[in-house]
Order: sequence, then structure tokens, then C-alpha cells
Amino acid sequence: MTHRPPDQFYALDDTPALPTSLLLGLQHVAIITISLIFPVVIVRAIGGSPEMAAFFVSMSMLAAGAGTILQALGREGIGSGYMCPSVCGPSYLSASLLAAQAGGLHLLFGMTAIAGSFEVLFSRIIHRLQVLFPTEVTGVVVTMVGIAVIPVAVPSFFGISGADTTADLSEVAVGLISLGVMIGANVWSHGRLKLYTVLVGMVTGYVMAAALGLLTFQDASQIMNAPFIAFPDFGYFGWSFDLLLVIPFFIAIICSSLKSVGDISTCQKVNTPDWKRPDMENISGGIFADGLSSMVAGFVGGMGQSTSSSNIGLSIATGATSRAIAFSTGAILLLLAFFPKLAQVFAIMPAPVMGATLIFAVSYMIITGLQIIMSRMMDARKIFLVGISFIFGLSVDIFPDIYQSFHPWIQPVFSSSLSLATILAISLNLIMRIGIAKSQELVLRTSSNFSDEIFTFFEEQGAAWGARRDVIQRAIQGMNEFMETAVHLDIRDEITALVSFDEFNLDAQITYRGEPFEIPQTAPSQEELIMDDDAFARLSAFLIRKYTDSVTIEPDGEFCRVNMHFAH
Amino acid sequence: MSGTLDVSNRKVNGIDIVVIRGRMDAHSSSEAGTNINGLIEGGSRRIVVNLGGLEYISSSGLRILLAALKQLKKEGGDLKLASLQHSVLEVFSMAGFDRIFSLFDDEENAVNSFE
Repeated sequence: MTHRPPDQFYALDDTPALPTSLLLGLQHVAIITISLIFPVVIVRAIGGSPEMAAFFVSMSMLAAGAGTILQALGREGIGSGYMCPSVCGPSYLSASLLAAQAGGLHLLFGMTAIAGSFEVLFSRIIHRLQVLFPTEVTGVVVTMVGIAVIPVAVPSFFGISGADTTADLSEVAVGLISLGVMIGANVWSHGRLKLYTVLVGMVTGYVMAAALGLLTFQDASQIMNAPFIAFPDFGYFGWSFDLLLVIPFFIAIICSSLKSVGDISTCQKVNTPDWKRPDMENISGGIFADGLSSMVAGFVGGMGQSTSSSNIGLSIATGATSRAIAFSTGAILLLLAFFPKLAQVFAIMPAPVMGATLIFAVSYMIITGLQIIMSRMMDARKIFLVGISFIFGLSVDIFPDIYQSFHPWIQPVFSSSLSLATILAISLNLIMRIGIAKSQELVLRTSSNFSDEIFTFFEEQGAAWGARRDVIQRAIQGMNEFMETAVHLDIRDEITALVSFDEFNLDAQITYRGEPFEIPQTAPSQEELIMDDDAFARLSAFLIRKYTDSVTIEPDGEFCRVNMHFAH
Repeated sequence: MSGTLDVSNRKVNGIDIVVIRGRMDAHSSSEAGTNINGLIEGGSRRIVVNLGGLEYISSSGLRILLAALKQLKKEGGDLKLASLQHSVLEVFSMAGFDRIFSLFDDEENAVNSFE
């Protein structure tokens, strides 16, 4: 599927030794467990018992394990084939709370299963919607996927949660040391230690937290008292449905799918050195798996699932994106649902360690998103698309009160900075496309300052089309060399170039009055260049061939047409 | 100075340094040619052209540099190029000019190579 990126320790198709896979899987599970706070929040919101919460958490882990494995499959249109684990989806939180409050967990499970099946259906048409996801929109989504984690990551880092609104010195110390160890091990270590930077930082954080009294004997006794093996109490399972909740759950799956577009695009970029644009067929398989994992959640009694950006950040940071690690991560999650003792180790994770882990992982996501945005040329349309999406998206976290009065049905849109930014980016992309012609004509004369005209034309059009800089640069060079050839040929009439663009092709059809010229396969020799002035005419023509992906020349009566093609 | 090209001169250890910034294309590169030819006509035989600020060069630009090199060689001198950006170096390689010119990573090495 992909070429091996040079900076990866375990690339997509590599198979690390089993102990390595399990250790790396455990590292991922540590991050995944952070999202298990959502089922706990929901149960607490409806006044449920700790046993009810334990069932909901166990079944959510089961769904996450199944989802992680399905996502990594990448066969028969199921899964993207990447290491892109499933977690309890923040996009589902608002709709799940509504369902739990209206009809308890039974209604939540029923609606989650329905939502998952909608997402499965949605995945079958999303690849036809490439127009909605040009590179700059994907970049905004990927960046916001990272930014959306900040409201969870930073308060946790300072040990702030619920009623505890102040940061203790000991909590700050644990957060700083955990993050410092992770960054230190990642930046300055060599060899295999880099693979386990998060695990090393977490263990250090746990030890520090115990030494400073943040982990207490009570926490330890939770582990001791938990049974080694236990089957979830299915007395809490049941199904009911409410037509009124279809809309909030539908919005939740749209938001979850869009997040998956960003997450899977990141996986594609990280695993493909010459990545150019999102592969929507592959994303479709990924969203299919995302929907299936939510269906599994609904069937077994878990929370709706989404792909996890923090885990992708961890994969990038450690240089381990192997599919085998996804399978081990999924297997560990499946087992954890039946091994409460092990699950408790993660459940008592001190908040500052949790925050440090998220900050470490999310740094990579944000930079990946910004790189995707800046891989294309920007004009005013795209600057506003990106800027406005970021501004209003971030406003959800900065001024949450503004959006609280909106109708509960559409609350998922405003439930996170990611949802709002994504929906704005997609909408603005469609609006800003108005008035962009796919073809433009450039008229040149050898007697004018054609080079300036070529630069101005291609830079403006390249930005309007959102083209890749390197392709536009080659088009400028190819066009300039054509004009220099025209100078040698003494072409004095108008030369017209019809330049057309789509996401995959940039073509220039140049028409001039005159004879065809030879486009040599080889450059003039050193001696020819020094001794023969005409060699420069051949050099210009030769450079046209080098700058283009293909070039043809065909006579048409007294005119000639040069067709330059640049793959995009 | 044209809108897209900036050419300036200085002397280091008796060697003429020509600093070219911007774009050397069909329209602008003649300014660079005039500058270098002026130095040769004024008796300069050892010239280093610093291309660190050159963003783009077309075959016209290459032609100007080659003409200057030919002229200097005829007069018993030499012209060396320094600090080429990656994109410009690619054009030199494509056209085979990396075998015609002496290319240096920086100006200091190019100047020292005359000693």
C-alpha cells in the first residue's frame, strides 16, 4: 500500500517481536483508557451505581478493542489498514448524555447501535465526496483534532478536575517530570528507548505521584480488591429507541466520521513519504470500521467509538506505526474487559500523568495538520477558509457560554472546537469555490517581460486552485523555457496558453504560429554549449522536457500546439 | 536593478565578488551579464559569483554565466560560483552546468580556491 518512511522504527507492514508488540500495545492502551472517563461521566450524570459504571467501562473497552482490530484490517473495504485505535468518541458525549438522561443506558445502547449502522452506510458514500475534503480542509480537521484535546489535556496536566480547581505544586511537579521524561527520551535518546518514551514517562509519573502522595493506599487497594478475572454483569444491558434522538446521534456520527477523515489522513501522510492528498477510498474503509465499532458498542453495551488522534500522535512520536501493534492493542483491550485488576492500574492514573501523555501525543497531531495546510499554495479564499474555521472553532473552548443556548439537537456541532471548525471548513470550502475557473488563458509575447507575467499568472492561479507549490514551480519553469525557445525561434505573434487544473492534473496547451521544434531527449554536451550558440535553443527545449511529466508538440495548419502535462 | 533581480559587487582579498539575488530570467539576467562584463573589461580576472540569494534561473541566466566564464577563461582568468540554493543547483545538474562550473558551498571556500 505504501513505501517505507525513512524515520520509522516499525513501519506499517513490519512485524515487531511479540513482547515488543505487547509493550507498545500497552503504551497505546494507557492513552486509550483516558477516554474511559466519558462512560463514567455519563453514569454519574444519571446517578448510576459504580457497578453500572464498571459494566459500561468494560463493554466500552471491548468495543474499542474490536474497533482497533477492525480498523487495522484494511481488507475487503473494512478498515483503513492503519494503526488508528478506537476510543470512546467525544463526539458521542452530548448525544449519549441526552439518551442516558431520557431513557437510561438501554436507550443509549440502542441509539448507539443505530448511529453505528448510519455511519456504516455513510462510509459507503463518503469516497464520492472528495470535493468536500481538499487538502486545506483536511489540514484544518487534522490540526483541530489535536487542538480539541487541549481542554482535557491541560487541566489534567495541572491536576485540575471537577471541584478541584487549583493546581498543587506536587501535581505540577508530576506533570512536568512526566512530560520532561517523555520529551527527553524522545529527543535525546537513541535506539529502542525512543519506542517506549510514553511508557517510561508514565512509569516515572506513577512513581513520582506515589512519592508525593498523589497515589494513595486507597488507590493501591482498588487494584488489590479488584477481581483478577470477572465477566461483566449483563443485567445492565438492554435496548430501547427514541426517534427524537436520531438527529443528535446522526450529528454525532457525522462529527465522528469527519474526525476519522482527519485521523486517517494523518495515518496516510505519516506512512506515505510522497503523500499528496487524502485517499478517500481508504478513508471510506476506515469510517466503515468506525461505524462497525460503534455498532459493536451498541450490541454489547458500550459507548459510541471514534478513531483516536492521541494514539496516532504517539505512533508518530515513537516511529512505530506497525499494523501488528494495532492488533496487540486491540487484543489487550479485549482482555482488559475481563481482567478488572489490570484495568484498575490504568483507572487510577494520576491526572498530571494523563495530561502529560496527551500533551506529548497531541503536539505531533497539531504540527502534522499545519504541514498539510501549508503543503498547498494559499490565496485569500483559503486564508479565510482556514482562519475563520480556526477562529470560530477555538471560540468553542475559549467562550463556551456563547453556544450553550443553542438547541440540544444541534449541540453536537458546538460540542467541541473540532466539530465546529470542521463543519465551517467544509461549508466555507464549498462557498469559496464559487468563481474559481478550472481553466485560464495566458497570452504572452516574446517581446514583453514574459517571465514576470508567467510568475504572476501561475502564482495567482496556483493559490486559487490550492495547487502544490512544487508543481506550480515546475509549470513556471517549463513555461519560461518554452518562451525562451520561442525567442530563439523568433516567434513574434501572440502565444496563448490555456492552463487547466484539477486535483490530479495541471495541463498547459500552448498555441503559437510557426513550425514545430525538436524537444531533445538529452542535454547539449559541454563542448556544444561552449562552442555552439544554438546549443542554448536546444537546452531550453530539453529543459521543457525535464520540467514536465510529459510534453508533446503537434502542428495544426500554420499553428503549432505544445501540450505540457504536470502530474499533481 | 530590475524588479526581480538585484546585483551588487564587493572585493574580498583582491577577488571580485558579484552577489546576485532574485530571478535570472530572459528579461532580467542581462543586468547580471552587464555587471560581470564590466568587471572583466575593468581588468578583473578572478570573480566569485555568490548565488545564495538566487531563487530561480532559466536557460538565459545559464547562458549569461557561461558567456562570462568563456570570456574570463580566454583572458586567463576564472569564475567560480558559490552558495547555490537547492532549486538552482538542480537546474545546474539538469543542464550539465555542474560539470562546467566550479561550484562551492560558500563564498569563503570559493575565494580561497583562487589561492
